[in-house]
Amino acid sequence: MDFTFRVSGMAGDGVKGAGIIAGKVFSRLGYHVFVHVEYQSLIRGGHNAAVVRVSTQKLRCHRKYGDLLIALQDYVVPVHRRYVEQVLFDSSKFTLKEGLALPMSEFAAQTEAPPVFRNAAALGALCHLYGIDVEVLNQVYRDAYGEKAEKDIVLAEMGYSYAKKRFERIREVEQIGRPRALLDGNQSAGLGAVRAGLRCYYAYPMTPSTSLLHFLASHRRELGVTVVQPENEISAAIMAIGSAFAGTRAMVGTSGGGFALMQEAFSLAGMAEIPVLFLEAQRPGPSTGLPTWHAQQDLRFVLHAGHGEFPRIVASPCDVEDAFHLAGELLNLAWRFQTPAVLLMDRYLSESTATAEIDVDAVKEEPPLLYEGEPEDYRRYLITDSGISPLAFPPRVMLKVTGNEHDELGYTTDDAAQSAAMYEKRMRKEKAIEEELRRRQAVRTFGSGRDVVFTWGSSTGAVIEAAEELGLRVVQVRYLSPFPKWEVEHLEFERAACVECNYTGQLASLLKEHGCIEAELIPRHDGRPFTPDELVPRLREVFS
Amino acid sequence: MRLATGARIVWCPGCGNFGILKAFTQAVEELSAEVELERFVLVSGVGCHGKIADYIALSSFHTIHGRVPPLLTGIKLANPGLIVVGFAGDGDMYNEGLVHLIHAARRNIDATLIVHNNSVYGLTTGQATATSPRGFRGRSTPEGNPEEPLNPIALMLASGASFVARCFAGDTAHLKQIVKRAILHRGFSFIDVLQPCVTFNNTWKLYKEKVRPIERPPESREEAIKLACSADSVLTGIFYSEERETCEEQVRIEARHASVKTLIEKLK
Ligand SMILES: Cc1ncc(C[n+]2csc(CCOP(=O)(O)OP(=O)(O)O)c2C)c(N)n1
Ligand code: SF4
Ligand SMILES: [Mg+2]
Repeated sequence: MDFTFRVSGMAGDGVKGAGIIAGKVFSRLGYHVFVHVEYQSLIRGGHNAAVVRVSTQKLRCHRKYGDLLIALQDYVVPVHRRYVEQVLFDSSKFTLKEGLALPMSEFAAQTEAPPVFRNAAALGALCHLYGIDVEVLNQVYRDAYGEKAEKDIVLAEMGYSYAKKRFERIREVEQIGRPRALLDGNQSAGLGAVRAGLRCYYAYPMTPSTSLLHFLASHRRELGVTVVQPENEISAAIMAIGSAFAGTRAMVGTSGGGFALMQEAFSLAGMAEIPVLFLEAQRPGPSTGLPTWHAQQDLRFVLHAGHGEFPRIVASPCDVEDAFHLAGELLNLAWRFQTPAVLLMDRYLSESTATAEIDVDAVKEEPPLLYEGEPEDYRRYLITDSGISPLAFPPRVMLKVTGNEHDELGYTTDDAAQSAAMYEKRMRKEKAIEEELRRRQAVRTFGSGRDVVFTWGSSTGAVIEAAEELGLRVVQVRYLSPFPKWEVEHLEFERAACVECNYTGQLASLLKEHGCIEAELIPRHDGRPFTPDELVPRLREVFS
Repeated sequence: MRLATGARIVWCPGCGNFGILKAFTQAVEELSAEVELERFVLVSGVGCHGKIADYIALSSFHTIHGRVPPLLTGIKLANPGLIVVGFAGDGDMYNEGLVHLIHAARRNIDATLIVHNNSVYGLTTGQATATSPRGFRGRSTPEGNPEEPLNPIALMLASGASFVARCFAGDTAHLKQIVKRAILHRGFSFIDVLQPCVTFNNTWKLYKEKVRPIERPPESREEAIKLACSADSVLTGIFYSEERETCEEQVRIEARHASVKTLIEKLK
């Protein structure tokens, strides 16, 4: 079973909330769910939509076509009509020639609830249309809003009985398993980092990273994480560096514009060998771009971020589960190699809510190399073969750290030999990181086939589905720095394509640079993520 | 000096920074009966002043230009048991990183910040900063600085700093006393130190003539602001001090075993 429905209205209509509540009804019944939201950078008016896909199989993306649109405004109908079979609409607000008329606003008025509560009536009707006991929905409301759920429940029941008398069922959806957890990519990344010992989170609000700030702020006590929203991104990055200097695991979250402001701090972390995890959730640029839409344009930016040369670890997850694991891995690796790491997210992954089977125990806080000698003998930047110097923190030792070039003790130097030796020590870590990544899943392969499609980040989801249909092999490049040359250079295949949401083909050019691979680029740069429906013909064209 | 390191001091002979170094190390030595030296962490900005981190045998982080306050904040939030003291320059703090200064004061992180205010960019060889007087002939303002100088004391008072003082690098006995008070003060302590730069802005004579102690300490923030704005001589001493809840007391969450599994259950 695999079906899709949509909710659409204006900002302020509670479209996203309705999509997630609806998604939860199905995840409670044991289904896999994927909720994709579209919205604009405004608070009232405009056009918002939530696309909810339900399946018996794991989901990493939404589909365009589906059963039903729940229309909360008349002007959204033409936008979505061609993708759906039927429209359930608020008949107290407007009329349609055909469709399932539900007087949502009148119901809300009758229960003396604010107009936005009309969603509950729509979701009650949805339960009927899919043959689900409305009590499942009621319980979702109770769990979400507690005592305040009363009116939602009354409205859900009203919508349900109204629909039951008038509308035919679309499907019979039965309980098929135990409830599944439903969370977005940012939240999942946050939890992965917490498992790896995150204690401080610093972030300035910027879409599409903000949901993590909200999530960690609201759960800070149970997670034991200090959450601070400082005056700007520069401050966020420097605070994180301060906390890590003092021995505490810290992370910052931002999008491309905010990460641009963090460049000098990023470079400081490289020079001072401070482990900090940067979550960069991409959105379309340049500049403010399309603030609420999707892109994968910052790969080259992140790979070259910060002035000067220093090792960095960059990875990009493909789905909610991957975000959990990679966030945990990266925080551990940052500490192991004492250098900054970037979890390169993208809007589609950051803000899409999906069911996930998270193996919490797979991520643990891995201890870094700690100094065990006498405090007086401590050398923060001890030159070693691996480039890694043992860590110790005040008050146990006198710790000297600096953004200037330094000697082993951490005092400023401009001696040529000393500077070169310290530079080489830092750069040697890159080799050590590469050796470690060779033991990890630096790339992941899905399916088989002589022709291969390369991709990265959340595009992977749509690519996997389209490739399945066409019998293609998919290679998701998961670690991007150090680039997993060892994985791609000996890869055997006939023809190759590369799917990514940018104009220039940033991964495609890396494949060429590191693996001499000529992959035909399938780009997208209209702010929308790929869907399998759209990808199939484009892939077919390349491989015909 | 017990707190000396092996590093060779590279300030110009006669630089006001020597007075700050001396007063600070004496203050720390006097405090060492009460506070373990291991708990001190110094943070310095970029400029001539920033080199001070190399000259004191205490933990330190010589950070990048303008970013001393957030670094102090991150360290304190990670480990409130540490005593954090920042050394910034006037260019560093009143130009490049001004926004952080204002917010650190509002936030009231328990930290001490000493600004080496020589009213010039020293290390970049003599350009006008936010505290250079109007008409100052620096190398980038050959016809005189066209901008009005900033009043750091008034700014910090208006920003809610809980301890605001001005000192003169030429009066190390007074500076030492104020530094001790600032370190012991619970909350954000700000000291603007008038620091002659013999090479690019030699104010020794001017300050020796003009510096006067505050006669009657102001009793309220409003009075302090008035005093900070009024003086024709340059007043030194504590303008204002109050106790209030610190940032870390309000926002820091104790580390605990994170219940990720329980939270994931709740997301079902
Ligand atoms: C981001 C950045 N911009 C510019 C510089 C160059 N720079 C180094 S020191 C300095 C000025 C320092 O002036 P101040 O903070 O007053 O310190 P002083 O040298 O007077 O002690 C500048 C602009 C830098 N290091 N970093
Ligand atoms: S240039 Fe000025 S501030 Fe810098 S060391 Fe020399 S006298 Fe001191
Ligand atoms: Mg200066």
